[in-house]
Amino acid sequence: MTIPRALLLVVALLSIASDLAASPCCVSATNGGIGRLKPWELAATSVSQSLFVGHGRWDEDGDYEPYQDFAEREWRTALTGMYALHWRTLLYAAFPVVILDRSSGELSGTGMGIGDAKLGARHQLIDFGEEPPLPALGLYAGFTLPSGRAADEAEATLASDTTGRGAWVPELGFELEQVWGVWFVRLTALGTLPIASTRADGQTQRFGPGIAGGLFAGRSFLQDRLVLSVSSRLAVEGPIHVDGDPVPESGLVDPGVGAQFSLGLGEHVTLIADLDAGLFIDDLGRNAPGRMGGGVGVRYGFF
Amino acid sequence: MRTASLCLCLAGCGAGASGTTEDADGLLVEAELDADAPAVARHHLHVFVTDALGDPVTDADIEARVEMPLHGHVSNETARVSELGAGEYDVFPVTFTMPGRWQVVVEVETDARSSRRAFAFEVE
Repeated sequence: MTIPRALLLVVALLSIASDLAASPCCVSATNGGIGRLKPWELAATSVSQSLFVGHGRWDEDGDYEPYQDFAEREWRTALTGMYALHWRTLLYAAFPVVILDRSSGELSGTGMGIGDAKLGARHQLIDFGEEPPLPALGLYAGFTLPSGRAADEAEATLASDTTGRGAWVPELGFELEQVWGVWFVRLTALGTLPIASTRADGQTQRFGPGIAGGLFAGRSFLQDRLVLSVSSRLAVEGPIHVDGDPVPESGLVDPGVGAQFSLGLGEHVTLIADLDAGLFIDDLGRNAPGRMGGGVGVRYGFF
Repeated sequence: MRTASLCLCLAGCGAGASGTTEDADGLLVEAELDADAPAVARHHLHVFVTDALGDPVTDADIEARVEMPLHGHVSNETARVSELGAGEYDVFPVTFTMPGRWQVVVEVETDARSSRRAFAFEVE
């Protein structure tokens, strides 16, 4: 038997097994982003480690330019938690620790610190299968804290101890998800409205309002224990305002694609992993870094 | 208008190593970076200040702020200005911490006049 045939046989067996026991509530609960609780869980926590490598950047005209001598790597450890207030409503929090390494020519620097934390709540307005044929609908409300170190407050060489943006950012969003047996499609959208902050040079600055969307498509295997998905994402931000005046051409567009993986290792423990890369093509992005990387983590559900 | 065209040209041309601008009452401010193709590094910026007659302006108070306006932050290192004589001043370190469009805002103040100019640089 050749290797491709063996692979096809494994996939076919997985598909048969999955079809027998897929559960709409849980197919993608642990797949991508903070996720959500399974119906029987009271809480969940996860710790993950990711590495992203800078590849280039889109300039203000949309031209993508790979880095020449500049190199940037970011390790991010994220501790997340979710707690059920009600079977429809949960609170979530994410606390990252960031290590940033930059080098260019003779200069190099490495710094670390707490990143920008997130706190929020999710409410399941329409549960899975509750209002067929409508998809499940979850609503998000939360904010990002300026708990990280902004670039102009950094002290290390090349500002390599930058770990955040330095602004409070209220967020509001939704998540639509439709499940067909072992398949699912999920659409997420998150709007942000940053609050003005004072820069190190004393000027008042407000990042532009933004919207970040993601489209996920995936499938579960092994009675939902294994979930694989692919995704595309797009983040758009309006212009920065300094002392009330917009900074021309400062809007941001950041497109990318990704893949997600989760594997249940028992009743409580799930192994999670993801990959993400920008779409390094001219005119797709604007004023954004082009990065690629991925992460692995472990999620533990309490019930 | 000359200031605006200066910034656009330097950013658009991608060279951004030098520039000249003159304010309304005749204070001429020129700036020249130490590299034709600025990199992520610490640079020297030489600022030349002359009056309407072309005479060098000495003892001017000069402050320089290095910022990345499109990303909304300033450089994490403070540029200091030292006078070299004959209307020439050295600004160091002009530290670009990542690739992209940066600008150095130079504020010149003399007994009689003041000028505020932004010089843009595309950093690779």
